Amino acid sequence: MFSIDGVTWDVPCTIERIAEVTPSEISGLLLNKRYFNDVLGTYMKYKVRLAVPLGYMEKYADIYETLTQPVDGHTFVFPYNEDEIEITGRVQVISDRWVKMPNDTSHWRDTTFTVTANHPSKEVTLGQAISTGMTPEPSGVDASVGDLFEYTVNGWVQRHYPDADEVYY
Amino acid sequence: MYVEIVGNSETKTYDDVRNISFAPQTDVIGESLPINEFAVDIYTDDSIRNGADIYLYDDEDNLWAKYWIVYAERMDEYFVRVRAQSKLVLLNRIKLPATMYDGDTASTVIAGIFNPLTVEGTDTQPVILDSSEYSVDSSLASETITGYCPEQTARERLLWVCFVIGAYVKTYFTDVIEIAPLDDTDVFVPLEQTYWKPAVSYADYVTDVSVTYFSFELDDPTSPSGSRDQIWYDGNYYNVTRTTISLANSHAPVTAPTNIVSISDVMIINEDNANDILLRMAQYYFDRVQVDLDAINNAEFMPGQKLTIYTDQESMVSGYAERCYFSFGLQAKSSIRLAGAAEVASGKLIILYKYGTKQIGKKKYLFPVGHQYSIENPYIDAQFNKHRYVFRPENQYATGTVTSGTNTNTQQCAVALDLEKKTEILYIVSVDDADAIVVEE
Repeated sequence: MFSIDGVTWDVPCTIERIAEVTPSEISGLLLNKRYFNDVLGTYMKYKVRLAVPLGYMEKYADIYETLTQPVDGHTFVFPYNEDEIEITGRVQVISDRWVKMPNDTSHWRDTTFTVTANHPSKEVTLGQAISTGMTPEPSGVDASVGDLFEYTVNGWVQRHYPDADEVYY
Repeated sequence: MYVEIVGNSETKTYDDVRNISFAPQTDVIGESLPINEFAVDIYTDDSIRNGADIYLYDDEDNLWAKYWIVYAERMDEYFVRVRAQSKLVLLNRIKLPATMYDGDTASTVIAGIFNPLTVEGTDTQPVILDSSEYSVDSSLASETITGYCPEQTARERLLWVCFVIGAYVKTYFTDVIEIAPLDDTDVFVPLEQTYWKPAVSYADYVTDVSVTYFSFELDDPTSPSGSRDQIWYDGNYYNVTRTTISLANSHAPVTAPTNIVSISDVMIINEDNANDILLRMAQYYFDRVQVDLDAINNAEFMPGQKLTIYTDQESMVSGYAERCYFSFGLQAKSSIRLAGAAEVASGKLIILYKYGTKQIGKKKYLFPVGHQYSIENPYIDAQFNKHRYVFRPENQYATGTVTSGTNTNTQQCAVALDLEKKTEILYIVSVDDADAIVVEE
């Protein structure tokens, strides 16, 4: 299930999710043999394959007309992890096939289209990009005397509630 | 990156831009006075006109250039192509009369050069350049100018004055036209900001530099000297005496063909400043190394700075940056041309990280001799007695001064985290006035 410009389409479909962590053109190899990856942001791409039931052709025509509008983008809502994501994306190609059956019925099938986000769904600021690196001590928090910080794989995390076995929550 | 345009007392910001072209340059030896500019496509349906001030900023709101629009063309219904230049270009339009200077200060002379642009406005002659839009560095303001300038454009006169007082003109990363001294302080371009791999070339040997200086003596009209080398100024003839001094390049081999760089027509070079000018020319022309390098450059390195750079992981050169051609991503990259550069002595620095007597880490660097370093020590994930720990440095920074040869700096570490147990605690004992945390294990 997904929506286009606020209209939800509950049709059988397969949605392939692709996240592109997009580097800028100035990325390249540095003299210390490290690759400088100047990331502009993470752009989502969704490939949708519709399996439109025979009785759904009129609604399918509506989807088709919406997607083929010559606009720079639509607002889409797609599944994302346990939730949904709203992206403004462009559709450049929609393809399908018209099939005529022996019993004189005909329908469109195998519809596919790809939505590419116009804006990154994740990005860092210029200041964050310049100053990346691990902080030796906990920072960016208001520490008070008596606070406890635990070092984990995610860095320093503040702990507040030790139990009798000194396990921190 | 984004731009702001000031027009009709209103400032408007344009975030949607593309195709920014910005390649600031300067001439550190003073042979020319480049006019810097940038070009950009702006996504707008506004009408953008010539003559408006335009500012170029990065996403951290740092100013990259303040110029004025000389060309604006709508490309389609969405984009306008804008080209903007430094107002220095206006000096081309001004013709200054011949002037004899006699100990005038540089600030006075330069004010006279900009004066036709900064006069009070009228309906028919608006103020083009406010007097606050240019500045003369305080270290140069009281330098004196003595000699004769013929009728010339204001730009050419400014070029002569800058050459004589050892200044260059900076019109980038600033909102004014700055007349600034060359700074001998080395700015270090780290290895981790230098792209693979700088290109090094060598100019032909300059075997000699020479400078001609001038003195002027009023000719007695009742008893003319009959000299053929005279100038006419303010109703009088002045006899001109020219003296040439030169310096040979002691590093040029005897087999090098004669190649002399000479300055012979700048008539505000006098006996007092000629030697300084000669030494400045020698320093520039006798150093033959030219380097083209690409660097990650978020407005840290700019033309006119003396940069020390790596040519590879083992060698370094130092010279003045003459131009930086920028390209943009999230950060910025620039292609930098160093001219009049020389190889610099370097020393290796090895930082050893130890837990007691056991070495758990090592980092190697190459720095110029005399470089004062302050390198942040990392946390180290390492094995000790077949047990995995994260070690924290006891000092936050490794500091020192690099000498020639190999320098070793040992930094002690303590256990921060036992990865086999995955628990280790820091107990905050105090927080100082600067919100720095003092910890106790």
